[in-house]
Amino acid sequence: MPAEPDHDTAGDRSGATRLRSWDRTLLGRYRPVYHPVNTSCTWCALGPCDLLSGRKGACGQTLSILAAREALVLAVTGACAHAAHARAVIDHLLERDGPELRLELGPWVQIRAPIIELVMGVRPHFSRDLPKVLDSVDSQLVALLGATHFGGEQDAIDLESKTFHAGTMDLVALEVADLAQSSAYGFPSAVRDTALVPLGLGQVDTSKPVILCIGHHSAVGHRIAELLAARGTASEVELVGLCCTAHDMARGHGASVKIVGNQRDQLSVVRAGIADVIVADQQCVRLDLKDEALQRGSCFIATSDAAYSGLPDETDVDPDSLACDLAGRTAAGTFVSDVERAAELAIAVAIRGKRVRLGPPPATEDDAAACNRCGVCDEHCPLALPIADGVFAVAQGGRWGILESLSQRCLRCGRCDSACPLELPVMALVDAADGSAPLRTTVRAGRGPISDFEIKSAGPSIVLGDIPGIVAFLACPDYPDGRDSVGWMARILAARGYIVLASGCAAMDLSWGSGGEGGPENERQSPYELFPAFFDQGGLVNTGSCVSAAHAIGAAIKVASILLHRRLAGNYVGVADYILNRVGMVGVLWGGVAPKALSISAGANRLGIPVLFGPQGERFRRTLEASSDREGWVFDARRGNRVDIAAAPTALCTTAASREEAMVEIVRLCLRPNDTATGRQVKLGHYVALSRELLGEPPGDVARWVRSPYDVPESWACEELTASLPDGWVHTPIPDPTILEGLVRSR
Amino acid sequence: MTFRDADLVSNVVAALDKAVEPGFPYRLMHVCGSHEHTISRWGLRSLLPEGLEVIAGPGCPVCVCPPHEVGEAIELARRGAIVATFGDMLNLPTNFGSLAEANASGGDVRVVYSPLDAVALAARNPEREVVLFAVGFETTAAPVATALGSANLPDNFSVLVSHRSTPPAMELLLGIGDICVDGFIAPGHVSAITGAEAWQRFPDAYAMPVVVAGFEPEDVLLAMLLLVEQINRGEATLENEYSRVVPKLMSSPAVAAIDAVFEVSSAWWRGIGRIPRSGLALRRELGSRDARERFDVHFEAEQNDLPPGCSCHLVMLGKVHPPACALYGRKCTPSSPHGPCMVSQEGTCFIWYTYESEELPATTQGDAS
Ligand code: SF4
Ligand code: SF4
Ligand code: SF4
Repeated sequence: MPAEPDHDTAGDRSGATRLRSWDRTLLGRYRPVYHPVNTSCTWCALGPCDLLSGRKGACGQTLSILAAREALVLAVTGACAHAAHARAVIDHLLERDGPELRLELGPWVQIRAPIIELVMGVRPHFSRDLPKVLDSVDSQLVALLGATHFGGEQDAIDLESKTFHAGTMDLVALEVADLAQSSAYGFPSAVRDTALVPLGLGQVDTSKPVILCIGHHSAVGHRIAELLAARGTASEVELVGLCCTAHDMARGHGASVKIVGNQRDQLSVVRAGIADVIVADQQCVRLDLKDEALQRGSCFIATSDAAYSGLPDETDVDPDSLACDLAGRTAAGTFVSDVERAAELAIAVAIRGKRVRLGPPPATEDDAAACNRCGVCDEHCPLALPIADGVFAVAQGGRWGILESLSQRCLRCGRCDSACPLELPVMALVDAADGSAPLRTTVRAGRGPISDFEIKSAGPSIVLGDIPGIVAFLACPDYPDGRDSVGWMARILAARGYIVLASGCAAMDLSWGSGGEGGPENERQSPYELFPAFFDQGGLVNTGSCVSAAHAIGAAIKVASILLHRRLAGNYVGVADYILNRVGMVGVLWGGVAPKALSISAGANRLGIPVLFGPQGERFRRTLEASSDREGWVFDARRGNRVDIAAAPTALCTTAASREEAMVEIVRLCLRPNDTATGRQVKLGHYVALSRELLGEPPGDVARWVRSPYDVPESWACEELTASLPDGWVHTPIPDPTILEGLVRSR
Repeated sequence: MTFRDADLVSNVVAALDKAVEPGFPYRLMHVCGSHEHTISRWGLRSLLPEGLEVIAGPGCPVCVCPPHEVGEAIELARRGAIVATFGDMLNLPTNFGSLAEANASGGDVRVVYSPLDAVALAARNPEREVVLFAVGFETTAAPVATALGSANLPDNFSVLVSHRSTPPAMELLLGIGDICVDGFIAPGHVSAITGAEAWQRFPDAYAMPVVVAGFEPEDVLLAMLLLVEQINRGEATLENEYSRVVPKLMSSPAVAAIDAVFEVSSAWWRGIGRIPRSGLALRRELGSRDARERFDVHFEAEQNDLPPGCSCHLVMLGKVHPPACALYGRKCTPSSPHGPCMVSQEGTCFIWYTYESEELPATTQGDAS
């Protein structure tokens, strides 16, 4: 065994291209498959250049290069959003707590910043250490965006490498943001039983004044909660959150905060007119939210300079007099950037007296009456739901069945409303059809990082396959097939002993849906009540908001570091190779639609963690697939030879068409070349069983994964195996796998 | 010191010399303290040709016994039970102190040489509870099972079980990777109980040669030769060097006795973590003999289960030889052990400190940082 080589810098340079040779190795196995969205380029004034049929643009660009450049821009945009968010968090906390704030995640977490340590080679100890990390992120993101300019990077694989790097910077930013806010607000860290927090529109007590915080930077929300508690007025005001801000408020204040919903729900929630005051910060806030809010009579306070929303900056006005002034305005919108003042203002507006909320009454048959089934709404629906039939059926005799059946899938984006030539309230009709669903459940407040102890405890079982995989549900809630889809998947996986992690909007949606296999006495019970909140067999862990996705990725890094006893600093490639070949983790971004979803996915991919999107994932322009068996080769570090094996994981970034296919794909993506005999047997057992159960037939490729008779799952009858083994099947010994030639023993 | 069969030894060493191809690394791992004892005591490493390395794996049941289980034993002593255990356990350092300290501060901890001694102790002290703190691999689990099956077992006798089974830990080593082992030397006495079953998957699924070996220096050298020959032939089979004692690798009646009393469970290995299927737990129907159930003592595993600075986990995983630990021979010696591997006579650090010469390589792969 050679001494641990420093692959990260081997023959390469610093900054954005430091990991280029690793990227090219990885991308040699997982080839980009492009799914162009735009077939002509308008990036410069020479265009538009039609790039179909092999035509090149005036600058020499091809269609794949355009797709790769667009993917890079999206990934950089997503990473910038997180970097800007992290900067806002740090700036606020430096102002609040000063530069000497200790970065602490409690006694159970000694590796506090695995991503920063791995990527940047530093261990941040104090708040003052974090701006330097972000400075580096910023400058690298600028370099990456610069490379997309006219005449920039011209090779598809190098563009993909840069997209990976944008993803890596994204993960660093996530970790900075969560480390800082967890330390500053004293969030529970690696604690098992965090509060069960009410979730859903049905949980909100609208008899009280309601303050609704929306977005991702929860500073104002925390301050409101603190002030209400300090003044003993918490019970007089209903403090609710939506989207990631809600997660973080719940981490800080438990069940004294309610979560009304996630990004997908915001239009419905705002239109329901429940809020007296809406406090908006940054990211994933609808671009028409201010107008929608003001129309419903809610007061709208923008607080982030990332989104002034056209409002007057009234930060310097005394909150009480501003509240008074707002009460007299017809459109009560303002911008207040100071956290303290924004919090005071929100409370002042709320307790000054309820505003006249203009939530419309539920839509009725009359609202549909004019529908002529022209189909324009279908055409514009991002899911192409057959909405016209549904509205028309209501119009023609009050048959709500079709709309009801679509209501679970509808993303509440409101596009149909603005598309309908007759201006019918289509989304309100969908909402009305959904009226029977009890919009109330519970979600366990985010618990932050996975402790080193949990890793030590579960790590060997992960390696041995007794825990067949770690599945992290991340990102946005815009699923192709209904809000209950991720909850359905999570229940089945947890019941089968997988470790389920979740963050962001997906973590909220895990609460919905009827029980699958893990189905309990009470089908309506939230999975958070059914499965233990720790990182172990059958555990289900909500880490927190989107930025806490860093902890899911961090867990994979820690498995490598704690089991392997290797340093992190300067060892990115060694750790990524380890995860790729040995740690069966999969990211599921089933409803991932924001550019941030692409950035997270690229960051995870580069670390050897495959990611599964819903069908919409192709809109990110490319997937990364092992295109043939041949690409499954690994080096056997022990014997020193290269062995051809079935590619495991089968893809780095891929999509599935339905939740059933997704489930089968998820368990397949947990396969790794080093699976022990027991591990492979257990994993294949789940693969075969789920395929039979959900797709009605056993998978066609099991034999590819059988290396010796020890791998054969118990559920797989001998005859079936023999029938499916290809002619000339030979037993291949389990390798000590790596794709780094430098780790191979020379014999 | 002279070998019992010096001719045989020199013949095998000469054969090894010939068999080991220059420039071609051979790394063999044994997983038994007794094998390390033989290797170190007889200075076998110094006889090996260049390129052939033998490393110690997780072979010391005392070393891997986690502090929280020692804590349970201490707690039982504190509550007034007589705790009977094997000598090596007394000085094992933990956050709860050691059993020797518990004894010194009023607890009643006694050293026994066999499980039946503990049963006799219980018979002699009918007014006291006697708990056997049972630590060891299959070789100790078998007599414990026999003791538990004995007629007229006194009512005041129970067992605090801390048995371990090595093959899952070996499979874990292969799964963790980064060890680059080319062959395993399997302990003969364990094989005499378990038969081939325990080892067969290593050649079959991993193409990893395994030789079951006895404990004389000749046995161990011969096992190495058999492994080197397998490696040279590109073969991986399970061979039995110990045939004079175990003519056929088949499971013994002791396995049935073990099965009657114990069931396989996951178990915590000190410094390594929780390894599935690597422990034995008393069967539910024997609950009244299970000290944990009987006295409702259930301690949780701890995050920091090794003393600061100790590299026992790396020693047990075969990643480093003991001298790579900064404390070895300085703050940690057999007379003043800091980590568990320096306590037990089967601990790699203890054995190295006692027998190995200074010139041996300090590391197998790197330093213990
Ligand atoms: S666009 Fe409007 S009118 Fe046309 S089908 Fe849809 S709801 Fe009916
Ligand atoms: S609101 Fe629902 S039905 Fe309307 S366009 Fe959006 S997803 Fe389609
Ligand atoms: S020398 Fe002592 S401290 Fe170091 S690894 Fe061995 S037992 Fe542990």
